[in-house]
Amino acid sequence: MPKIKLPKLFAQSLTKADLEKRIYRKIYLQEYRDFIDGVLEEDANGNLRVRENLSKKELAKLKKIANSIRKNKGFVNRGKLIFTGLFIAALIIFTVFFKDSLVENVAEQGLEAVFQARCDLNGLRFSLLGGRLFFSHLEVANREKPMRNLFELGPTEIRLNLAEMLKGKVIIENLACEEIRWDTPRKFSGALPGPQTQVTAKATAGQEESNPLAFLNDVKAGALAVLEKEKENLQSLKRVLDLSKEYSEHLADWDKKREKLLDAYKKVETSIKKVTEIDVKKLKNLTEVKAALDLWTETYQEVSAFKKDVESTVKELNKELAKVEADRKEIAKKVEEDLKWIMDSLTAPITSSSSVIGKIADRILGFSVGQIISYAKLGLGYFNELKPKAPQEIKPEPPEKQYGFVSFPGRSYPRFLLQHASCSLGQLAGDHLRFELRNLTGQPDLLKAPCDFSYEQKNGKQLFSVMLKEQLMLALIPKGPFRLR
Amino acid sequence: MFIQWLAKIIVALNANTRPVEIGLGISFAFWLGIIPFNLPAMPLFNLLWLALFLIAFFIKINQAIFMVFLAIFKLLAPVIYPLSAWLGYAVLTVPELYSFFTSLNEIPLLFFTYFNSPLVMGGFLLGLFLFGPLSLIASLLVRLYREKLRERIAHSKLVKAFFQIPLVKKISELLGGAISFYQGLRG
Repeated sequence: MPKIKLPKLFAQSLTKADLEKRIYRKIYLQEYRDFIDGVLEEDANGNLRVRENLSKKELAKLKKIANSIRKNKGFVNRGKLIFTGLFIAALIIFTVFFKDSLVENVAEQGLEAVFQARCDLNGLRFSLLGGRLFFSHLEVANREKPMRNLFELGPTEIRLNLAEMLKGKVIIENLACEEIRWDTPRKFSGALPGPQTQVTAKATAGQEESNPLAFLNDVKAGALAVLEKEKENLQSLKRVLDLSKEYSEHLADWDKKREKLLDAYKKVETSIKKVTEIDVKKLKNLTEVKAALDLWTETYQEVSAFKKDVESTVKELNKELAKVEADRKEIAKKVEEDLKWIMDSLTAPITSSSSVIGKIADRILGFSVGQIISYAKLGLGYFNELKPKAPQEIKPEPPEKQYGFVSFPGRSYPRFLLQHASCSLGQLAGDHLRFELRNLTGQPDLLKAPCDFSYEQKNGKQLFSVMLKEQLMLALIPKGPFRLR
Repeated sequence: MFIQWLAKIIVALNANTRPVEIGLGISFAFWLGIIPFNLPAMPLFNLLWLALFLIAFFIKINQAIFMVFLAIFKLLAPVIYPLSAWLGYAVLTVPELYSFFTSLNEIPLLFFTYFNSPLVMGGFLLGLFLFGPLSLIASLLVRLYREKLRERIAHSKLVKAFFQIPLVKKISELLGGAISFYQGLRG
């Protein structure tokens, strides 16, 4: 008879104490106990062991019992724990050794896809749990001029308060971008491999000598073009131009009328002179009397006609004067309306479509930063979404909400807060500009700290006007203290 | 689905598993059932609930019993809410514990346990107090069932007749091993 393979637990002989401790304590069904009692037999030493003549069915059941006994050990699910432990270990290894370089590569590829030119990103540090992204240097080549950079950024950091973000609040602890430069020279070509990015050597050579501030030449033209286009919206100007044309035609008509009246006057004057020269005493016969009478009658008719002409001209003149007055009033009204429109355009948020400053900024930044401006505007537009909204219609409360919360003191953040932002423009025509902004929020009453904006400039005159800064601030902060330093 | 879960419960009750695993499954289900998973107007789900769920995931408990009873206790939770809210509010407003809760409130991640909700605090404490007794009672009931009722039920004419019904036969075929305990008993 072939030797059967017993489960490990039952392979060796067991003392009664072992049987109790290792087997019976882990069996919770009487049926299983009875079965085991039935398959065990005492050996020569008085120990218990499984009898040899087990049927296949009995052996299968013994295996089943052994399995269930094995499962009834310990209170921790080791399999799940080991799997989770391995997963966490892999995650830690990935975070320590590969995360930053992976994010760096992905960011470079993404930027290259957007700008169609080589991008170099160095010193990237990314922390998902810390909500921080930092890099020491980024340069993006110009697709059209591969030996020059479109822009270059120095140390840049974005740090968010992740815990508050999970509560639905946007708290930017730091947003810094230092040493921003445009159109800087490159040591090697920034063209991506492929036919679309190849440029002629001649063009490249010419570009290398170009002025780094060349983009500023277009700024004035761009601003003027925007203002010229905006001028079309001025109703008063349009009306004044129309009226000017109309009154020029009227003036010519009046000149003609004046000439005509003068001619008529001279004619009448001549006729009256003739009449006054008639000496009644010297009239000798009836024929002379008749001639004199005819002259008087003719002169009378001429005077009457002249009188009529003068009267109608005076009437027309009065009418014209009334029209001039009405036009003057209309122009004054339109000028007032236009003034209001201009003020509205100037004070509208920079992200609004009606903002003239926004349009000029679009144009100016469009020259230098290209596609980035649309994304930046989109980001600024989200600010309005973060402003406190009006309370919505009250819906029936679910049971969980009926019990409310017990509040304990703690720091309460507004829905949006930019704690610190800084930006510096490096070596711009010998100037060094640095902007810094602190505590920008839509709910300053919650923050109880003033919004603080400062900028410093070395070696040169100011580039941006105060009005633009105020406008930007006013657009972003509806109320609250603001100090310009 | 429901029949499958029911079959799994029957298997768990009749298999050679530790009664305490079933007891722990019921206790964890009760604990998680009375603690709200998410609260209205709160942006994230309850971290306390998740932490307890993870503990239940790593401990050897009967998963089928746990899931079924979790669903049952979730449905029954609104009945227990007044009691748990009362208990939670009573604890949260104890003046001696005020500074302790204030310091808890300062810890960023603990905010997401929503411990300052009377429902969460009450549910947590109620679950904690009843965890031991519930496990013990459930284990004893399972032991009692296995010792006193199991054999009788398995060998009763009613059960035998029930398993002869064509529909039950078909279901048992579909469920495969889910009700194999019966055949096991017969073998």
